Amino acid sequence: MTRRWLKILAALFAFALIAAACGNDDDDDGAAPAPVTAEEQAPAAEEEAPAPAEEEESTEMEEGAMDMMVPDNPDNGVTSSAIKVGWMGDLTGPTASSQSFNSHGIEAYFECANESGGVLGRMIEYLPEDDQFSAETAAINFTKLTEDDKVIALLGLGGSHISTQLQPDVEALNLPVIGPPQTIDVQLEGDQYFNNLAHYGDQADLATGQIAADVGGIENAVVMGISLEVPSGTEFAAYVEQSVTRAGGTYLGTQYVAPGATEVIAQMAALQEGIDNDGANYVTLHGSPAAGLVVMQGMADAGITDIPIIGIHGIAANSIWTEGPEEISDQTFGMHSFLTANNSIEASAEMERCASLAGYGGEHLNLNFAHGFLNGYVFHQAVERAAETGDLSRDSLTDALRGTFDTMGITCPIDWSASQHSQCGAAFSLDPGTSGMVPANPFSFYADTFDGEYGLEIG
Amino acid sequence: MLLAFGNFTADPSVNLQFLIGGLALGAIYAVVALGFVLVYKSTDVLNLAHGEFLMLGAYFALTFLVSENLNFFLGVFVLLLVMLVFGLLVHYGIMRRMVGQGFFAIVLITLGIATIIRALLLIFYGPTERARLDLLPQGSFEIGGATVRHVDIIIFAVVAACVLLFFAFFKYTRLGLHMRAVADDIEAAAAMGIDPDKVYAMTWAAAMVMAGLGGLLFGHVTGAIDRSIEAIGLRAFPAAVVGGLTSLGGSIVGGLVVGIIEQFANGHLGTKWREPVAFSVMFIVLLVRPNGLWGRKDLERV
Repeated sequence: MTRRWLKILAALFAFALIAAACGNDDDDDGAAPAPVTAEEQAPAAEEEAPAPAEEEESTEMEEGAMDMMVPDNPDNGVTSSAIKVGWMGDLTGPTASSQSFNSHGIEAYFECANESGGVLGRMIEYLPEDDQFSAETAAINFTKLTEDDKVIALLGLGGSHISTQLQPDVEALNLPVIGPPQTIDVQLEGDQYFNNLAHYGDQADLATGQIAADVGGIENAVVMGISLEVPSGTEFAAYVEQSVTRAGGTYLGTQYVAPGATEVIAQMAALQEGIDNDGANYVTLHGSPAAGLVVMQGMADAGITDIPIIGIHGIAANSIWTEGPEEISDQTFGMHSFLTANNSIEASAEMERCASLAGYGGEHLNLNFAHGFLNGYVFHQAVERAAETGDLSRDSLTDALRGTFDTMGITCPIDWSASQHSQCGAAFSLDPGTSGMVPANPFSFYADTFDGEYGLEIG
Repeated sequence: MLLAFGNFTADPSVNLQFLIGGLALGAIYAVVALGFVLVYKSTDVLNLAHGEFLMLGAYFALTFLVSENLNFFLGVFVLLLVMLVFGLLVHYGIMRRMVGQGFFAIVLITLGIATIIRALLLIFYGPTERARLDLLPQGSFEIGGATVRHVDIIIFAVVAACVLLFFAFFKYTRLGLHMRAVADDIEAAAAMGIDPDKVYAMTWAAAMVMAGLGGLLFGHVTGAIDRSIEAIGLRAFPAAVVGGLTSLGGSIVGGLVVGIIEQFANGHLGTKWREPVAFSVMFIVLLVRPNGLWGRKDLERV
């Protein structure tokens, strides 16, 4: 009996060894952080600890923070030693390859912040909850975070079907949600969403601007949409149609792809028909990185290699360029609102250092990581601002968020005093030299394309 | 404007493309369905982890053929060998203890195995999707305005060869005969000196080799290799049921029928109709022929 078990254990061990050998391929996923010596870390921590960009303002804020003695508020996640903040999204499910980087970015920021003494003398207790893109699991996670942990805010709330479902609860609790990874219309209905990612309507405007630049004027554009068949896919397609047609271009229609589809033969037949019969010359794409790759491979298989693509932020994942067919990815753009560390911004060194500190070396070249990192930084600033009122609660934090925030150059300066949107975005692609994402044009290039209109009626 | 946005299109070349795409997809479903049938036919276990086994095969193919850059034939040999060992592990480590247990208990065990495989792949490979394999010929040619990929032809050939091999195996080999005997009546087979334990072990090993082969082939045609490709197991399930869970030939026909129906539903009705139509066909077949089109009808003697 014992020998048999030993054999089984030995075989399992062998399997684990094989799997371990396979896992470490050519990217940095799950890899151990790059070793950083204590000597290297110490000066960096002093020089590059997360702080607002403006030096004087920063000093005042830090001095103020030292003096601020906000009382504990355990019902809102503020205890004598910690401030609890949550995150909800997909860490291990079908969209983990984009959403998990958001969480890693936040975690990296808080690792650095806590290493520097925390915020208001308290450690940030970051509580990410994995819903695997399931609305049912998300509902349970939301209850845990708000009723058991009593978090003061959520830094992200991933999945359009999930934010739609939880909208009434978020509103009822006056729970601030900073930087969700989607910006669909339902989030316009409450005052709790503070968006630093461009709204879907803005991204559609941005796409229209890039298309116009590429085809020599929007009047020459004949656009076909390909979207995942989920609420955000329908909404994004409707915004693109509205934006392109208003500007004077032609929108042929939308082909939908089922979540989890592994081939898109029928959609490619329709695209080919659009090219042959109507002169389609641009594709807008919505979906997760995996869905984007499926569509791109489908295009390559069908020989549709000479039509450019611009996609929503799921299509701005590095894997679109590293894993996609070269003949397609060479003319693909992904829209996003954040600059990665390879772009020589103020946050570059800090993002890289914190990524290493948190064990996510290499992820600072990913746009979603930059988004998460920024969410942590904005939360840090907002908490200190809220504490100036002598009270740290969901209400005071929500009020504090209705202001301006430094972004260390990761995105445009944030001003949520008039509107809880951020009209900032660009079309990105992968820079092979740095292995990081770079914008085709600076944010300012696209600024004039945003019409600032939000909300549409989808028939 | 386009005619094909969820509407009927009469263009013959487009319909031919749907047919060819359906056959290509159906061939993959057939590979998966063969795995379902092999295990069910020999052990009476409905293995709901087969999609995960195939996914494991695809990831191992990535490792041996891309990351480790082994010679193609050596890499495929190693892949199939590892899958064979894994199949033996599944039997001797888990399924052997479940012999004689309730049907649903065993189904739940396979679901548990599926969950563990998904978790292990996430731990060891991370969440990021990988490019599909491109080791088989990647070109294509046109027939009547429709594109046919070389890799689809290869998959067809491999599937056909597998079916012939299995037919020959079950009919002409001693082990195949033992498998059929155990499947028909385990007690009578045991009384005749056949070791059911060994037969079951070989069945799981063979199913896992099929999954490895399926993963290798599917890894060449899916858009990306990530943890969502396990859904192929669920999507191929109607193919196995339509064909009859005990019929090797039925699984092939079932796979092709379901693949073609899905493509036409997707192309003419829209993507949301794809799976409902496929499962509806399964329901109709089950209503008319509860054992599938070619499934074995069990007789209860009283």
